[in-house]
Order: sequence, then structure tokens, then C-alpha cells
Amino acid sequence: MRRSRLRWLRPIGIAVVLLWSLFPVYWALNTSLQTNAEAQSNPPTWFPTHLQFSNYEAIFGVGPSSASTAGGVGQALLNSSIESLGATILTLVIAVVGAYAFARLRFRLRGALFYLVLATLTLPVYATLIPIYQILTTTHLVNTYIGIIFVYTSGFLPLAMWIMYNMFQALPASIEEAAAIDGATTLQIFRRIVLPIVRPGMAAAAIITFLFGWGQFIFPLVLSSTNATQPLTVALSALAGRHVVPYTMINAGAIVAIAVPALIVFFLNRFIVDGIVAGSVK
Amino acid sequence: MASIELGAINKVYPNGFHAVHDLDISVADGEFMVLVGPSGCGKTTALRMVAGLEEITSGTLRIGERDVTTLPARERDIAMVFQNYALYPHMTVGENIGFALSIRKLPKDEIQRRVKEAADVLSLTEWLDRKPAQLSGGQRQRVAMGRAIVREPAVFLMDEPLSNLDAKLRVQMRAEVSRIQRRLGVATMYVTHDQTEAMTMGDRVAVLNAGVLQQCDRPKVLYDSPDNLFVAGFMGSPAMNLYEAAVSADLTLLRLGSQTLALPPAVRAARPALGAYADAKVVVGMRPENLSVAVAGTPEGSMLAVDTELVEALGSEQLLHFKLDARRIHASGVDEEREVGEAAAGIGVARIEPDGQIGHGERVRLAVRPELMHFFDPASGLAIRA
Repeated sequence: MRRSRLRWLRPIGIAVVLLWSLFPVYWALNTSLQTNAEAQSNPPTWFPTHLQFSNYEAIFGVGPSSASTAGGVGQALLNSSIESLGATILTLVIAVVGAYAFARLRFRLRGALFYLVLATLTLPVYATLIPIYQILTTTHLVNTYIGIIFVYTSGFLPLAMWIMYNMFQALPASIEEAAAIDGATTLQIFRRIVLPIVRPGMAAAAIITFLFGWGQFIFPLVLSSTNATQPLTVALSALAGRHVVPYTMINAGAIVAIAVPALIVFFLNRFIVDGIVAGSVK
Repeated sequence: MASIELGAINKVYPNGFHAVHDLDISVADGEFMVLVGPSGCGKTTALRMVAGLEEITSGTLRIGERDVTTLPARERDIAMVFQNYALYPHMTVGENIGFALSIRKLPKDEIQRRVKEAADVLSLTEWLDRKPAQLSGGQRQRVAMGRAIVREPAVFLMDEPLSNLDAKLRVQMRAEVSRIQRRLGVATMYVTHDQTEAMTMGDRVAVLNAGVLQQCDRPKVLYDSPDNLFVAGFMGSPAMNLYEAAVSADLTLLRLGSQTLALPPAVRAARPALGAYADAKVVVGMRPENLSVAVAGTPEGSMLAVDTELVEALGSEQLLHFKLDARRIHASGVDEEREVGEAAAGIGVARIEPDGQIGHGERVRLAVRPELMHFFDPASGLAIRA
């Protein structure tokens, strides 16, 4: 009764939420397709009147309108990809092996260590910014891919490990025992039985880690001061000059930056949901 | 194919819990040995030690001619069927069955041939390309069997393989497992808590309680002459009626509560040890099927008057639940929940003819067959026989 009477509220609620979260994205897309004059007109230009891609050409350093500040976006895109992918791979390898050890092996302080790892999730990450900067300085890893990848990995590992831990917990030990009796070695069991079964969890952990890495701003801002290693997020903010803020170009860059995670979520969200739900429902 | 030899095997967990005590069992080549007992009796632990999934604290384990006490599971040449089947969810039925063979790097065509053979035996042929999730419980159970038989292992181990099936399917698979085992003639250890499975499937049955082997013999022997109160109470459904009784000084009478039964000379002669219980207490056991409604002419000394509590008509027979004014003995560990209440009330069960009309609350005289009664020492619980 109650449910059916209020059912009309549902689509409205969804529409409000969608508008709230998607409008800024639309506005970035809209602005990125306009000229500077249109973008700063009043009243604003709600729809791009004549499509032109000069802003995209500019940020990638092609075409006649490329400004001196622009052109680094291509490099930044590459940096973002290397750093996010690198962190994803490293995180995944450590998370899978570590979580398996926590889930299956019996060793002293196992519980305490695991909770310690999880507890780092509750740390306000910015509190670690200065110490991390100092560590990277001493180890000469500032302005390197490796430095950024290490920092990302240390930050994303606990969540990835927790996802994998739940996957391994949900996997009945008898499946591995059956494989042992079938004659498989520990390594064969891990490779042929365990890993294929937890693949959805690995996909989820990988995607989430990649998206986190892609969206990082403060850490790479502090830890990479040169174009050679700055990711897209940092490079975009650097487009803003002291006197001129090229809104159209920044928004073109933003659309590029959004496109990658958007595509990932669009095509791979099944894995994210499967992987996160897998541990909870048998 | 081989025999299994457990010699004085113990399991003590790191926390000090002694799960299995000095277990001696030998399973002959081709024999079907059932390990039965209430939950927590150590039967699964024993099986897992044979499998190599649990370390043996002390004792020796031999499979065939080999001492495998410390060998890892994969080198013991065993196959095991798990209670939850433990199928590999990401593999098809065919891949599940063939996994052990592919680990041994057998040629593809031989794997295919043997998987096909096993699938034929278990009527799984048309499901070979399915994933376990798409199968019914009974089919999954058969895949687990298939995975075991395709190996042609030295021994089979089965850990409550039928307990996840519904009652009807369980009866069907019970026969099927027995049939396959006899056909392959591989020594088998089969763990169950279900005494019906133990009775019907085992060549021999080992009854365990609290980690200690109580008796190991053919089902018929366990049923007809249990060594102690535990086995007497555990084997048989409904369970044996166990009451405290006092033997008269001249060994001719048996007093149960306020009633007296005659102890014929033949009964005493068959159990010479009973002589030591003159003017002492014993536990008497009467199987439900050895009690019947007394007919005219039943001698006075072999009848017990009881009050009917409940009559369950099963078609082929009736179960008459009665109350007897004697102290019901509770064999520790057996079927805890039910037993506690009955111990107080002195309730027992008789298995009687299907056509008798007996109303609830009616007082009935049951004929007892003294020669089929069991006697136990109340302190030690051991059978009083020779």
C-alpha cells in the first residue's frame, strides 16, 4: 500500500541525484567544446552552438591554437596511466599473496597484524604527506614513477587486501584440500584452483585501485614537481596561469581525465559489484 | 588397491584437546569400513588424518605396504569425497573429474576416456560441460564420486558424503555408493553420524565416542551384541531401551522399578559373568522389536506393565512409546537432546504389530524375551557376558 502510493517519488529522486552528479560533467563537456568568448558569455551558453575541438587540440599540442602552457597533457596522460597501472599491479600482487597468507596460514600475531593493516584505512592520509615526502627525498624517489607507485601502493593496499581476504575467507578450505588430495602441489593449487576462483575479487580490487590512483591529486602534486612525472590531475591545475585561467582547455583536460575511469566503470562495473559482494553472499 | 592400517593413532590439538585416542583400525583390501559416532567423536578427525589433511600426533598409518604417516596428502594415493563435495566451481564437470589426471600429466585422450568412463558409471555423461553451480545436489554428489573413482586410487575416504542430500535421495545414493564401492573393490573408510547408513553400508562398522574406539565389527554383531552401553544406545533406531535393574540374591529374578521379571537358567547360563551381580544392580537393554503386546498365556515373569504415552503408526509397524516406572539409563553421548528427558521419565519404545488398537494412556502388558535381553555393568558400562 504505502510502497505503491509513493512509487512515483522514485524516478524523481533518481533524477535529482543524477542531475546533481552529472551536471558538472555535462558542464565540463559543454565548456570544453566552446571558445573562450562563449565560455565567458553572460547569460551562459547552455549548449555548444558550433562544435569545435580546438581546446582538445591545444592541450595535446596539436593544431594552430596550441599555447605555450599546453601540450603537456599527452605526457600527463601517459604519467597517470603508468602510475595508476603500476600501483594497481604492485598492489594486486601484494594483496593477493598477503591476503592469502592472512586467510590461510596460521602464524603468531596473525590477527593483530591483519587488523594493523586494516587500521591504516582509518588514518587521515594527509597526515602522512610530510613524512612520506621526507622518506622519498631521502631515498631519492621524488619525481620518479617508482616513488609515486610505492606511495599509491602503500595507500591502496589495505582496501585491496581486505577485498581479497574476504574472497579467500569465502572459499571453503575443502576445495583446496580436495586439490591436494587430487595430487596438486601448493603452487598448483594456488595457480589452478584458488586464483581462478577469486578472479572477480581480483578484478574488483584492481579496478578500485586503478580508479583511486587515477584520481590522486595532493600526493602527486607534492611528490612530483616536473612535467616528466606529473599525472593529469596535477597537469590540469597547472594550466591555470597567474593571470589567465583557460577554462575551456582545463575542461577539455577534465573530460579526458574523466573519460578513462568512466569507460572502466561502464564496461567493468559487473566485476566491481561481483567482487565486493562475493565475500558476503554464498 | 590396498589395505589401510591405523596403529595407535592419536590426535592432540595445540590447545591440548585430545581428539582421537590410540585408534587401532585395519581396513582390508576391498572392505567398506564405516566410522560412526555422534558429532565431535573424532571420526572426521580420524579420516582427515588418514587423508593427510591433519597431522598425526602419534601412531603409524600404513596404506598397503607403505608407511604414509608423514607423507603429504598428494603422495598417499587416496581419493576423498567431502561433505560439501568441494567441487572446483570454475571448472566444468568433466574438468572436475579429470583434474587429478591432468595434474599427473596424463595424455589428453586418456583423460577424456577415463572421465567418460567415470561419467557413464555415474550417469553424468550429459552434464560433462556444465559447471557445478548448474547441477542439483544429487548430481554434485555424483561429480564428487566421479572425481574419486576416476583416479583409481588405493583407498577411498568419504566424509559424510550423503548428509547434504534430502532423505529420499540419500537412500538412493546410499545404495549407489555401496554398489560402486563393491564394483571397484577399493578399501573404503566412510564417516557418518547416521547409524542407519552405518548398518546398511558397512562391511564392518567402527563406533567412536569421545575419540575412543568403542567397538569395531560387522553391523549385525554390533547390533546383536554391543560391547558397551554406548554402542547399545547408539546402534539401532529407535534406540535400545536401557533401564536400571536389580538382580536378586539367588540370581533368579530381575527387579525393574516395582515389577519383577524371571531370569531363566538358560539366560544365566549364556552369561556366566552375571553370577557376580547377585544382589547387585545392572543395566538391562531391550530392543524395541523384542517387546510385544502380551497375549494370553504369556508367563507372568516375562511381562512388564507399562503406560502408553504415544502410538506412531508407520504402516508396516507401530511404535509404542511407553512409560515404565524404572530408571531409564542414559548412555552418555548418545543423542543428547532426546535422551535427557527420557532418562527422567523412564520412557521406552516398543515396535509392535501394525494392526493392534492401543489408545493413548492405556495400560498395556508387554511381553519380554529374556533370552534377548542385554546386560551391562552400571559402573563401567561394559556388557556382562562371558
